[in-house]
Amino acid sequence: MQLTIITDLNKCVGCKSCQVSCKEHNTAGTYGPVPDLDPYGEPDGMWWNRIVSMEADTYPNTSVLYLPKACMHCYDAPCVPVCPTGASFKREDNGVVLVDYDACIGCQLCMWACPYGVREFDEHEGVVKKCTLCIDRIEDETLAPEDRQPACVQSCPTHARTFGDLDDPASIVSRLVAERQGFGLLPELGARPSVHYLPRRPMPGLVDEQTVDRALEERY
Amino acid sequence: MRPTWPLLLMTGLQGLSGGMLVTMALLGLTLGSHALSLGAWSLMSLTSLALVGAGGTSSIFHMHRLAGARLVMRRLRTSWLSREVLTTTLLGLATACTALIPRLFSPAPDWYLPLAIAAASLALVALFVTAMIYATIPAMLSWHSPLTVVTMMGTGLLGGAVWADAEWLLAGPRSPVASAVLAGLLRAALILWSFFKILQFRTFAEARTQIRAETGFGLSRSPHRLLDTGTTRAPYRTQTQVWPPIGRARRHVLQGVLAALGLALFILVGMKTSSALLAAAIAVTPLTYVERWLFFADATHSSLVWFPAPYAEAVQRGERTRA
Ligand code: SF4
Ligand code: SF4
Ligand code: SF4
Repeated sequence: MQLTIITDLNKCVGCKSCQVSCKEHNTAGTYGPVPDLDPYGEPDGMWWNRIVSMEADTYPNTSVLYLPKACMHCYDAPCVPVCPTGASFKREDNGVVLVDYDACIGCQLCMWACPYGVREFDEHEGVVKKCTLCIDRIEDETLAPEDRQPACVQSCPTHARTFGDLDDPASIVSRLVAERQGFGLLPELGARPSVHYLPRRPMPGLVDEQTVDRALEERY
Repeated sequence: MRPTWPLLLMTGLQGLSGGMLVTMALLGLTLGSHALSLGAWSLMSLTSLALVGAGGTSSIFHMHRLAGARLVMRRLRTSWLSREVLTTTLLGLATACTALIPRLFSPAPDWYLPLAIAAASLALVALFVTAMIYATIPAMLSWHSPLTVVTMMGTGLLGGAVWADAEWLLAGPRSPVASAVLAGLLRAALILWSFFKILQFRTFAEARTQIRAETGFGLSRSPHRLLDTGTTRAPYRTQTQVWPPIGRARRHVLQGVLAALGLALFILVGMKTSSALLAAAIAVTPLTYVERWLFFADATHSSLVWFPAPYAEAVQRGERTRA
């Protein structure tokens, strides 16, 4: 079993609801807190899920892309074998990559090994923290079944995020990846991320600057 | 990425100590153990012990949570860092034996040379293991190369040899032939080391161009402009590997300093007087640390694709947000 999240880049509107709900749940959750360095001044601290915003191409054919980026729960997670104490580990039963804070020495080697820059260092506790796929929610049998999913998936207003088992060919996430050419980030580095993204649909035909000026003149 | 002082100290001092041990063993093997006075053996082995001891102590400060320290050798099967703890501890013990024997026995027993050779072999293994920590991380684009092992071991061996050369002469007179041969060998080693360093600078330059927006964003259209890294501030305090790049001017100044120190070293080791060799030992120390600082500070991590250089440099200049 490999639990994972698939994000449809056509549906993500960059609202950062997933980023905030991750921080909110995990600051109070079993694996928290997700600390801020100056919470009552200028919040500047740890986020386990960051929405990167990017502009592509040149005017007038520019487009904006939002990329929610958290732990990819890699199949060949490079953060795991480098860890000297075994604090970083990948669960055999569901593929989730976790950090055992009791065993961590804060050497930060795993942060260098992770190609995606999703591990962050908690200066106060001296340990490395990262997305747990909300393992404390998905395994909590006291929660209603619809609540046993990651906070980011549950809070997404556009349903851009889907949670499920990528090793089950019949699951929704597997079908989405297979049918919509789901891709993982930085495949050249060999981590085999389980988190996938569904590519944006092709842009409508390109326009040149004169066409835009003409259309604006006609309209106004 | 951000260089941290415990790592700089630990890797630099371990290299110098290992280099001294290897030089001592080679001198003993080629010239016979009695070519070196007991004073020379003592001085070199005590210095080597002090260096490895200081390096080992500084590594403790690299741990931010000591409660987990009892587990550091749990992943010997996969983690080069676990292996480093083992090999550097063994090296410390072997160096201690090498340093203590000349104090306990006079003259040194017959088995002292085999012991020094065993300690030197262990030093080579320890230097290799330490370098492999850095060379085996694919995400550290600048380091993921055999050149990391060659230059890291090379810096330690060269530095240790220069120190050993100076201490040998300080401990007493030696034959002019031995001085001349040693000077020639050190100069040849310096030229070889410079060649591999230049190759490594090229690898670092290539790494800076390797991060691809296409595979980092799943976006085929270029150019790309980063609008927002996820929060108002990039995570430089919590993610040391995306620490702002050092910038071209600073890099070139430090590379120039390295070249000047290398040239000074080349001249000094050929002068064969004890004051010149002492100056060479002094010069090789900043050379080691400029080299090591650049190795860490100028390295490119793959996740920098989400924190591009213009943004990072603006942060470093204080124009955007504090780092
Ligand atoms: S994304 Fe990084 S932290 Fe997460 S499993 Fe992969 S390598 Fe480890
Ligand atoms: S920081 Fe903690 S989890 Fe990461 S490699 Fe070091 S001990 Fe392991
Ligand atoms: S909550 Fe959904 S739409 Fe909003 S940023 Fe996250 S993935 Fe995108």
